[in-house]
Amino acid sequence: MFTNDKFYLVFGLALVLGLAVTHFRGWTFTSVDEVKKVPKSVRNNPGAYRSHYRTHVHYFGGK
Amino acid sequence: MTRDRTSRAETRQLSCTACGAPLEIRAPKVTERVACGYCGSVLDASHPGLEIIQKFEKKVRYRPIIPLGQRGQIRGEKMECIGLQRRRVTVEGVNYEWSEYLLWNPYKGFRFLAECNGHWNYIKRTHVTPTTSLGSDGREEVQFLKKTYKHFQTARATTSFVVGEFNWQVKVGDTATCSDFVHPPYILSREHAQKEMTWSIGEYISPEKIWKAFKLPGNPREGMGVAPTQTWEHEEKYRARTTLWVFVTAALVVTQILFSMFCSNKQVHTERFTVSATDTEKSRVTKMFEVKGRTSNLEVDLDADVNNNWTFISMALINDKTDTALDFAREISYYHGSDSDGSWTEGGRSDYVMLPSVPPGTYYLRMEPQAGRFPVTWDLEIRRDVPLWRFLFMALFLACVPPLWLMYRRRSFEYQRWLESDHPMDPIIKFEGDE
Repeated sequence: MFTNDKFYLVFGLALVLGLAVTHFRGWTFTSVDEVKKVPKSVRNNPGAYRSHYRTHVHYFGGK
Repeated sequence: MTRDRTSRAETRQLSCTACGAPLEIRAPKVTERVACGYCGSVLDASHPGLEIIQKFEKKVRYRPIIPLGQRGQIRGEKMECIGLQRRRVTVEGVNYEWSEYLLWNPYKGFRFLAECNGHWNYIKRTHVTPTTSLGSDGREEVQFLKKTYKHFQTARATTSFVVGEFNWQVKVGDTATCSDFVHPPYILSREHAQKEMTWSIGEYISPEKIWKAFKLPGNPREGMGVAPTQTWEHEEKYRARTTLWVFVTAALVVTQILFSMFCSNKQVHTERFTVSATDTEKSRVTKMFEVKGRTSNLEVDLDADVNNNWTFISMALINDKTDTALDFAREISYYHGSDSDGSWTEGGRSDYVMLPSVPPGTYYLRMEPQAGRFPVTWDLEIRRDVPLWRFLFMALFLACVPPLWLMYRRRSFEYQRWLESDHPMDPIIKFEGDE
């Protein structure tokens, strides 16, 4: 009976597999920037690190 | 005058009393009326002189799709087409016509092939009288051979044209009240003519099978709209899909539950930080912490004591061994007050970020806050391998889309089926002003 709808059979299996892999690999929607070769000196001098987010424009809240 | 010459054991060759055209009677023992294909006159076949019952001043011509005398094998029965009756109903001033071909086999008896708008039904009389009742929706329905047939339409049908032979006393102008009940692909028809009531049972048959059975030339025309007994070509797929949906949903939920049970969801670090306005260096780093196990997500929770204030914390999760950092940031703002509408709040004092696929290792978190005003204090908590339910909900939503699409198409098909009936369905989307 299930072979009458091979598309959904494959689609459903893909969804289940996708969910399992997502959990197993720890995927999330958060996008992060990867920075390589961070100097060890940052540990003792955190101000030396230049973040991608160091400039931030804040829109003031409140009514 | 008539000429009587038997050319085959079962047929009689005659001449039309009205116009002299040759007539072939294929079922002489049972035929009661013969309609001449040339002049349209209806003759009494039981009368030796073929008495004229009905004569037409105007020649109404209709060319049968299945020629009279054509033989074919249909549903395992060898039948010969011997007559054609065109019938008409008028509903709200609109005429609807269809053809009924009379088929005959000396051993099997009579059958009908009804054709309307390119759709065909194979019909035979039934001598069993079905039981009628009122369904839960107030509609008349019929129980027959363990199936429930829903009332489709009742109308007064008039015979508009006849040609060939008939085993009843047919003539143009005959009327009968016809009620149709459907259980696709089957149809039960009740016909009330004067004092007689007859029931017939029919089944939808594809035009291609008709063409093949009677070896008709060319290709059949595509049926218009949806016939009352037509089955939806995707019905099997729909049933398979709705059954599969149950299994897919169950599998998704079980997968989620299993992972939620086996996820460690372990706290790996917690610390509190305070930055004041006088601090020349506002960046902070956490103590080193271990992230163990397989590559998985990492949740960073922040809870700040902002009050009508905001703080923006840019963060970097730095792997002490590989010197690789993951850069991200979060803003927390919380405002509250009161006005003429009462008290209000905006924002919140906490937020979190879920970092993807963080491999095991030794890490520290570097943080740099900005704020509307200092001092700002925040609590940091880091958790490892946290189960996420959002992916399940997304997967469940996606799993529903194909079945819902087929459901919509099925509903559209049924809507088209019942459109010409006495019980049209409500449209899926009703616009204001629609009747």
